[in-house]
Amino acid sequence: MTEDSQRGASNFPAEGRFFMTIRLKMLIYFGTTSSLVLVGVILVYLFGIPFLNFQGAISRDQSRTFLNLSLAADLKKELLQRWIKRQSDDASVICQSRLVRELVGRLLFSDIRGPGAGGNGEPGGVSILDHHLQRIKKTYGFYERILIINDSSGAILASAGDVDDGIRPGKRGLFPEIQFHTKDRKIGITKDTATGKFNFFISQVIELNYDPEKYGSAHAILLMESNTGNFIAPLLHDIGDLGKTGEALLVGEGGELLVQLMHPLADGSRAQPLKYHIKAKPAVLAARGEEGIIRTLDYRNEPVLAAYRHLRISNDMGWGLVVKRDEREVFRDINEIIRNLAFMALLGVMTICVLGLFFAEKLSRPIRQLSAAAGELASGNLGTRAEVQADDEAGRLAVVFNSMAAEIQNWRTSLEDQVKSRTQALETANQELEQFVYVASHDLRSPLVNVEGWSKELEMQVKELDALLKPLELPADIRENIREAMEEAFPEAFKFIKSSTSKMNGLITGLLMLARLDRHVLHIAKINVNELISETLKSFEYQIQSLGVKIQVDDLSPCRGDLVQLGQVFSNLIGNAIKYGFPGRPVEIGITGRIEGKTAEYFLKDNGMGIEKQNLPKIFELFHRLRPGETEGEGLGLSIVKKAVNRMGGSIYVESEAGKGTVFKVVLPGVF
Amino acid sequence: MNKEVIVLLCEDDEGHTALIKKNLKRSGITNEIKNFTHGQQVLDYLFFKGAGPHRPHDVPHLLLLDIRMPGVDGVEVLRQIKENPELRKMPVIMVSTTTNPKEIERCHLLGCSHYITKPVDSEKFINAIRQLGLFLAVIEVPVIDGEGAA
Repeated sequence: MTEDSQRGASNFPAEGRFFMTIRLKMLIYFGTTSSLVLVGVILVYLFGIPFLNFQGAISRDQSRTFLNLSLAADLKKELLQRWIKRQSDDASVICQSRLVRELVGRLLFSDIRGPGAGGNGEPGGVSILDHHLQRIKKTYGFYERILIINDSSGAILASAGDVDDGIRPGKRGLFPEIQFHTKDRKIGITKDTATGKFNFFISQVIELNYDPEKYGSAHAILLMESNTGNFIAPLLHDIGDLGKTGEALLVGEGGELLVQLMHPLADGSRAQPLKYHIKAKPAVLAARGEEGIIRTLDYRNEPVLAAYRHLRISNDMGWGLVVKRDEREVFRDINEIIRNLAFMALLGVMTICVLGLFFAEKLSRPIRQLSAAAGELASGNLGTRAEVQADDEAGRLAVVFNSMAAEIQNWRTSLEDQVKSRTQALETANQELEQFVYVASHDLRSPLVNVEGWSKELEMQVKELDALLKPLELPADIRENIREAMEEAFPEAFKFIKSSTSKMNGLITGLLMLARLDRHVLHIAKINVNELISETLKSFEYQIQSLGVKIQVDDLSPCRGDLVQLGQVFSNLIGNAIKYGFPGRPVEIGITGRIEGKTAEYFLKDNGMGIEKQNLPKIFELFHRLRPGETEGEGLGLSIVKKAVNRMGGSIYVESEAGKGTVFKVVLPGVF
Repeated sequence: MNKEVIVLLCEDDEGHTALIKKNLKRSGITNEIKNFTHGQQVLDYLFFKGAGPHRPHDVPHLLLLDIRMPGVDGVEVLRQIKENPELRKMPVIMVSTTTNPKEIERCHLLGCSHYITKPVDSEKFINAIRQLGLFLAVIEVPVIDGEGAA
């Protein structure tokens, strides 16, 4: 049983390897799945599912913002364009008015002719135009200035501002925007050097018949300026529902800023309108003529969402309008939501873990218990039973396990009982046999004692008779008869009687030993063969010394066998080797061995008289004797040897050459 | 032992009996040798039972006892003798062909003085009995007192 349980234990990997695995696995599976689902749901909520066109919250926010920005941009664009149109229309009206044209024509002429030529022109003419312009300015209200200027001299022909001043000499370059007017109308933003403010201007050529003879290359230009702060700036700065970071900005065709920005630049400085060129993408694209929405960095290098539009100002000129909002603000809500979700997800995952542990524990307990019970059972405690807790397969497994354990226990008990009774029976039989053998040997010997003893008596009596007859006088032939009887017949008879009883005795002894051998209970253990052989050789010391026997024993590997029986085997083989030496040749015995697979092989070689080929197969037979008359022995040795070797699970072989020697090969189970 | 000692020989085989007697005499033993063929006989003799001859009182005895006998065997005889407080003084030498070590041990445990194996070989047999005789010649044997052993 010990051997069995040891074998079982070695098949059983170390406890540590299985520690908590099933619980841990369950926890990991459950935890991972739940967490993945949780995180998945959150991600889908935030980012949507692309191929299903399901928008996530983030996209939705973004889309909504873009929508708002686009609406705002479109609205502003519309308003701005309408406003500009109205301004243009105003200018057109003035430039086409007959009154204006007449008056301006004369004024221009007088200006060209020089001051004084025609006097201040016709002060009345200037006055009328001044008042006219003034009236217009008052009417419309938001114009900063309305001027009519000679574009080549720069003289102000009329102005809504200074009334009744006649033609004021203007400086060339004072109004750079009207310099060298090549187009009918110009629209733009300009900086008023006097005030430093930025004005929106429309300059339009007044419709005159510009006869170069009369006027040279000069033109009369109507200039109407209004402060950007009047309309444009407020329009841009009105960001309504675009949040705190909403901003609209306007850029010219070259990307130059047209209206003051709401925020400083990245380095902290303020961008100067007309001087600073915005390089941010939306502005650039809008100025180029493109329209759309974009998510990018703005002039402050801040990430923004922007809608950009292109305003067609004239046939060949346009402005760019950008309405943007900081991403940070757009996503502030969503970021907060994400933070909240993350926190909740964390809480969720922790809850999942706790739950997971609980479930894992609960589910795995029956299995772990069963595993423990199985371990108990394997280590020999057959009374172990598993607790049947679960109502699922695990429970069923426990039930099956229990019935299996009960079966095993029953088997073992009944086996043990069987073994016990068999052993008992064997013991009894053995004892009986032993008794029988001894009784038989005794009873067989008893008559032999008589035969021998009495034939000895007979012998002695015959000798006495002989002694008595010797001195008598007897006829020669009678004396001859007596002599024959005494010296031949009687001794011969006694000799044969003696040898027969001797042989009989030997046989009985041998049979006794054989019977004893059969009975002997084997105690299989690891045998140190070298030790055993040296022990055995001790009992042959006398022969070895007196006969000069040479024995060479190699380093032999151990084997498994019965110490006593193996001792018998070697004793017999060595004894035979000594007994059957070649006459005249000193006996040499060599004992070698080797491992062959799972067995140990031993070779006993001698240089004795050998065995004839025809006798070889018979040598292990009971009572076979090689040289019956020449040597002692009953012919039982080798049959005993063979029996012993077979009983130990091995086999014996012999090779021999008559006159040369013999080799016995003993194969026995090896040690591993 | 002195000439008074009666040597009891309990042996069922007549041939063995005669051989032993002859050889004992050859070795110089002149004491009376009484032989019995059955264990019960010798017990009756010693314990004053039965109809057969009974031992004389105050006479030293020595018993040569074979083991295998019909009826009451040698071991049983030995046992009964050694159980008796008086008779246990008597030297009992087992003489048997059996070489069973267990048997030998049993006899010694029961209290036999010695155990001799009868060799088959005639020379050895004669020699053994002769030496037994020489041995007996030098040992002292106590008297068994008392009437009616129990």
